[in-house]
Amino acid sequence: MGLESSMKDNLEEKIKGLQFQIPRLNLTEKEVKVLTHQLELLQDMLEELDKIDVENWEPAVTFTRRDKI
Amino acid sequence: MKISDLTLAQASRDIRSGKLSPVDLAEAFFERIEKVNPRLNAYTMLLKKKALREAEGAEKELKKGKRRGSLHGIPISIKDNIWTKGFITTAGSKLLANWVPEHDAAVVEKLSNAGAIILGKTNLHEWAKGSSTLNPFYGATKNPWDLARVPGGSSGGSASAVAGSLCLGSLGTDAAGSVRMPASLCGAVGLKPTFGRIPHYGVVDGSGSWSLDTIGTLTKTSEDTAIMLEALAEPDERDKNSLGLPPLGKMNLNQDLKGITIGIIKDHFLDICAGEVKRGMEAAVKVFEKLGMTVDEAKIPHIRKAPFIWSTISRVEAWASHEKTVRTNPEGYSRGILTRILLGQFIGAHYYLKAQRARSILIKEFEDAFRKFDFMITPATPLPAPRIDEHESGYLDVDGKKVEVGGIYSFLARCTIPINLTGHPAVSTLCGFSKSGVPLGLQIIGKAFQETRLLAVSHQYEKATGYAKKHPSL
Repeated sequence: MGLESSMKDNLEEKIKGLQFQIPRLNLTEKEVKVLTHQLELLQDMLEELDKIDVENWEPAVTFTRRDKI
Repeated sequence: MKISDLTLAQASRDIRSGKLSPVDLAEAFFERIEKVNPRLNAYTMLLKKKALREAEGAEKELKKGKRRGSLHGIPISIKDNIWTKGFITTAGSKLLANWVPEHDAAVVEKLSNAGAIILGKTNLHEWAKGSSTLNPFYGATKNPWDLARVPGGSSGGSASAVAGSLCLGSLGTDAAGSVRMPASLCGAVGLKPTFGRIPHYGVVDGSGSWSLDTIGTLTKTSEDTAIMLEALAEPDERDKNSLGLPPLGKMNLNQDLKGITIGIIKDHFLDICAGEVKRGMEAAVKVFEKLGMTVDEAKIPHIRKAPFIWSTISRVEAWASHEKTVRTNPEGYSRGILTRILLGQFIGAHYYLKAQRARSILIKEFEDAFRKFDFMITPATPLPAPRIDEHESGYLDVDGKKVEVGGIYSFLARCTIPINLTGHPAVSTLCGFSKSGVPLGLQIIGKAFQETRLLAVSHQYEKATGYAKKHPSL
């Protein structure tokens, strides 16, 4: 699973897409590279999340919603 | 009066006995701030006129026998992402350079009602999103033990001000360790109470994280922390997460702790950790054993997943807070913070919920471990304070191994973020010094709502080691 395959195929294009969304970003080539690296890490992070079996677990949302409160 | 030797508790006792005047105390702190702050850049704004007026008011009340409590006349500071009515609150951002809140935060109200004297606002990492407090708009805050090193972040100004004896206590915010981590790097005591214990109303939106952030305290000792917490830990209807628990009252830190059990969590926390930090932990274990406590390893099966869970939640919440401003005014952010916030849009809603579901697993595993152990301990930071140039290079050295400062999360926060996920109270306290002479921090984690027992452990540990009596020479 993880990110969609199109995103995996071209992370750099995805980052360059941000520039079209927000023209005033003015991303430099160096920043595009840094963001692409960060997006790779983010993809790995989501793959790690996918390895956790969360079946039958409800979202925590906040600690204070626990029963004993 | 030697200010660097003074603790909040001692000052409180001296004010009560009439030995110390609140006006003299406030003036002495402003004199020291004038001398030392240009080197530390811990404060970004001083409230001198207001503070001296309030100190005079406190002195008059005390002379009439109207003592409000242990904080009456005590000089403290406030992290600059916490609202102060009528005074600029920047959250470390140039976007808020001229923003003046119309109300005080609940915690500022509580401190004022308790008679504390607010000296000023302390520097922070831009939008409280980072571990160095090298702020591009308000300057770099320095570590009082070594001016070439970072104080940690994001409450770096508060930690630097406390450790540098520029106030007797400070308020910070902690969504990833932003109180405990700088406390560890600066040799202060940093408390993140149970989620919801201290009302969060009046923290600048976007400078924390809705489901992870807690206001906390920074002081020189755990005894000082207890005094601040007694004044702050009250329910507040303006914060929907505020616990409906009664005030803590006078906290007994000298309770008998013999026979209690402490669990060391080694997985994740010691996976990438400097040898001298590990040795600090080992020395702390010996102290706990001498105090009559038993120590054994605690297992949290999903602990190594904590950074992924935390980062997913934190990034989505950051993007949700900042999206509108990023789209309309990207120039208002430093490039580093801007690019970090932008990536949150690539995480889908299902992943956010998956992370919150995984968070429930982690909470359950901590609760299970707390059936066996009364407390758990870990290092507070994987490293002592890094040099500023090293931090700016983007890589940190862990005994010869290079690690990224900020991959999917801030490396310096790797020991503190799991506890933001679980909501348990945790305190960072000094457990020794590195070869280069900067502090090492120990994190003690308590059961939910048991801040009094938690601070009793750290207080008795501090008394046994004497580390809290050491101060940087400035």
